[in-house]
Amino acid sequence: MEENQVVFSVKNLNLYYGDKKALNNISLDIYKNKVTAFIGPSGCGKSTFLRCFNRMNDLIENCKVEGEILLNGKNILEVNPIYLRTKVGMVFQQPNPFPMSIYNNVIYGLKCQGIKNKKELMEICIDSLEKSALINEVKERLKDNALALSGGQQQRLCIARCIALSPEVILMDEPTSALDPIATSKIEELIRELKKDYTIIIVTHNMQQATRISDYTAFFMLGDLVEYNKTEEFFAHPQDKRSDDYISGKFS
Amino acid sequence: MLKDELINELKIKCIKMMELTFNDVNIALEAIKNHTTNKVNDDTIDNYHMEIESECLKILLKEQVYSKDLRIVTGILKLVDDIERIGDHAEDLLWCNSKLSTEEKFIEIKNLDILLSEISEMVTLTLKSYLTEDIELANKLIQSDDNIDKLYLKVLDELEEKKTLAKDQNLIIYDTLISKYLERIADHLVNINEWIVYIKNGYYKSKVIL
Ligand SMILES: Nc1ncnc2c1ncn2[C@@H]1O[C@H](COP(=O)(O)OP(=O)(O)OP(=O)(O)O)[C@@H](O)[C@H]1O
Ligand SMILES: [Mg+2]
Repeated sequence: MEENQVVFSVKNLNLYYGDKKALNNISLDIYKNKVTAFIGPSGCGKSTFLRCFNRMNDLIENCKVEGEILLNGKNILEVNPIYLRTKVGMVFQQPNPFPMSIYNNVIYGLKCQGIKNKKELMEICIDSLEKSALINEVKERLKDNALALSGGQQQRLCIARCIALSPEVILMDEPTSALDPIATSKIEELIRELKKDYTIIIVTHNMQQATRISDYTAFFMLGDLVEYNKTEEFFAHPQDKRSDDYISGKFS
Repeated sequence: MLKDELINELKIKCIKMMELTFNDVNIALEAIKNHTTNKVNDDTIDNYHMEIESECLKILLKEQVYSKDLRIVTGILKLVDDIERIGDHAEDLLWCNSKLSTEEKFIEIKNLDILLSEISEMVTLTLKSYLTEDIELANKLIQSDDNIDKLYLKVLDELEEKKTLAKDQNLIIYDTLISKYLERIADHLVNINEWIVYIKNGYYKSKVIL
């Protein structure tokens, strides 16, 4: 693991919802231009942990976080959260395009940042749609409402919306669980392509998806990080009995 | 059926196939050693072979197999080929043995007798190493192949030396074939042991392949 460049460094992270502890003393590094998969049984804290990376948990009342997360060596608490969320974008399980045109969806964040130059906006829009492998399907109808797109197209639009803000990291929470196999494989292909430019953290319940697209896998149970290793190594030779039982389907 | 049960059943079928095959080999070894004739039929072994292959493929298609389970299914898929070939060679051995005339059988080929008993022991120990996943034993059996190869060459030398003793040359021809088949069986036993090591720890011929 040494040769990798660390983007995120998590140190002794604890997270509470009220009195209930949801994440238990988690430490791990996320590597640049790699895909890291978070897996584990439902309710183990994957989404909660993912939200820590761009401080989305700040928006949840009674959620308390201890420990630290460094982004390129800098504590994310010292970064403006709005700015942080442009550098660390997020894609959700249900595609969530805004009810506006495809074009306006992609440049939404840029407009919020105050960019007005039409030519610049259009260039970034096209570039983002190219990078999200959606351009061929939408280039004739950028002004159409985004809600008219299929689920898989909407998900790639959400990815384009992230990309438009030139992030470093893209967080994805079960991005294909609402999609059919064809749309899923398009997203997976896209993820493999995107990691050349970005660092990706993905939560998935599909272990074969994790083996297909991720370089590293972190396995969580009941708020604990049980095992974190190279994906191939993890699925071939899990070190912890709980990991082995989970991936071998001994419990769920 | 649950994945665990499917895999368990697979392991049991593989043991049965191995037992049947090794039993045929022993029948052949005994017949050669005792100068008697006998017959085996490997249809049941072939059926097991196809059944096991098909079940491995079905498991890989339907189930998500990882870790040890993945090594068991893929390892068995590979090693049944070797078991099947050994079954063929047991038949080959008995066919060669049937070609030897009664008279010739009493010309003693000392190294052939040694080879027969080495193979017999290797067969027994291979079954043991599969049943117990004994890596140390498996590796020992893998290494014993050199010794078998040397012994095989010694048998050939001895046959050449004794060829004038035989009235007709069937002895030389068929004992040569017999020793070649024995040497082949040892090779397949080595392969089986290599897959046993892989099932246990993911190493195949000293390289991690899974
Ligand atoms: N906003 C919240 N308030 C209180 N508790 C919460 C909140 N969000 C999550 N939790 C609790 O925290 C724990 C972890 O939830 P989380 O959603 O992170 O799990 P998960 O691993 O993503 O599960 P799934 O695979 O089902 O998506 C659960 O026990 C959940 O009930
Ligand atoms: Mg979740």
